[in-house]
Amino acid sequence: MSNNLTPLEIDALTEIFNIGIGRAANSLNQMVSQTVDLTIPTIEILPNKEAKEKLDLDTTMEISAVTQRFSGDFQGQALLMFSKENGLQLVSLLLGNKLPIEDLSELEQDSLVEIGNVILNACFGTVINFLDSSISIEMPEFIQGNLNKIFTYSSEHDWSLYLKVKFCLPSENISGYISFIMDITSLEIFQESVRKFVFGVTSKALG
Amino acid sequence: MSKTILVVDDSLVSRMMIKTIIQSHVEGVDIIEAGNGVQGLDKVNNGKDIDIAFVDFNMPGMTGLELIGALAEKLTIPKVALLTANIQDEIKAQAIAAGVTFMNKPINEEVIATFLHR
Repeated sequence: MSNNLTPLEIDALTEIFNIGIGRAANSLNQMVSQTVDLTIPTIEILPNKEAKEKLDLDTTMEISAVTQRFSGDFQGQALLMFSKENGLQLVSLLLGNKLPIEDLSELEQDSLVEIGNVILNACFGTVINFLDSSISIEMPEFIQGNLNKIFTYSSEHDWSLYLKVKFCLPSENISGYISFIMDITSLEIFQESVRKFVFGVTSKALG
Repeated sequence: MSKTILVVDDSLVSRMMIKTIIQSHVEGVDIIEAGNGVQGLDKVNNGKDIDIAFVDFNMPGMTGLELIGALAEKLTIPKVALLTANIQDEIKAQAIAAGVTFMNKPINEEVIATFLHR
């Protein structure tokens, strides 16, 4: 299987996610009162094994992640990931740096789930609205462990649509990743939604 | 006299949407498009006056604000809008400090039309 989204469809999708992640960054900015820098999202269609490698995280590193599974017109997994240390720093920032870092573990899960919920839903909301789609989103779940524990799939030979964006809070030296991984089985429906959106834009542009 | 409008955005779809709105509100407009800051600077090197510029913030290489700074060293553009999905106060403050209009993405036809006719 090859990447069968056209360059214009990839462009449209990148722009849609860019808007969603921009909103998410604004939400995070309001929660921690720090400027959030973003990279431009990258979107690819890849076998799961390669998608995991593209996450560009050391497989032995301890990661704190919030994941939300989604299903409906298309299905998959959205992830917000930090190194364990950066996750704790972010929690500390969220709580106004009032607690010593060693006392934060109890609050870590709740705080990161809340951050993940806000960030991932800002992305979901934008994508769903633009593509006029219907999906239901499960409750966010906190996972801690290495990449193999966090990034799960039924078969490494299956293909996924894979999106990655890196964000950082430069003043605090905290960085994390947002990633969306969509099952290939739902990609056809997703592509159709993207095509409708692109058709709407191009037909207006061409008059 | 027809207006010349510069549109710089790394997203082709986004440029198409902006162009469509401009063309429906300004007759006989000459639109110069660029996909990044370097291209944007190249395209204004022919000495042509630019009346209005729409510049995306988050682009590979030069950011929109860096491009606006570089453009200001070359020519005077009466109206400049910074378009961005990154709606943090810090970015808005930087846009205001640069003397440009801050516009949220997704773009809104009414906002762009008001800006064009202001």
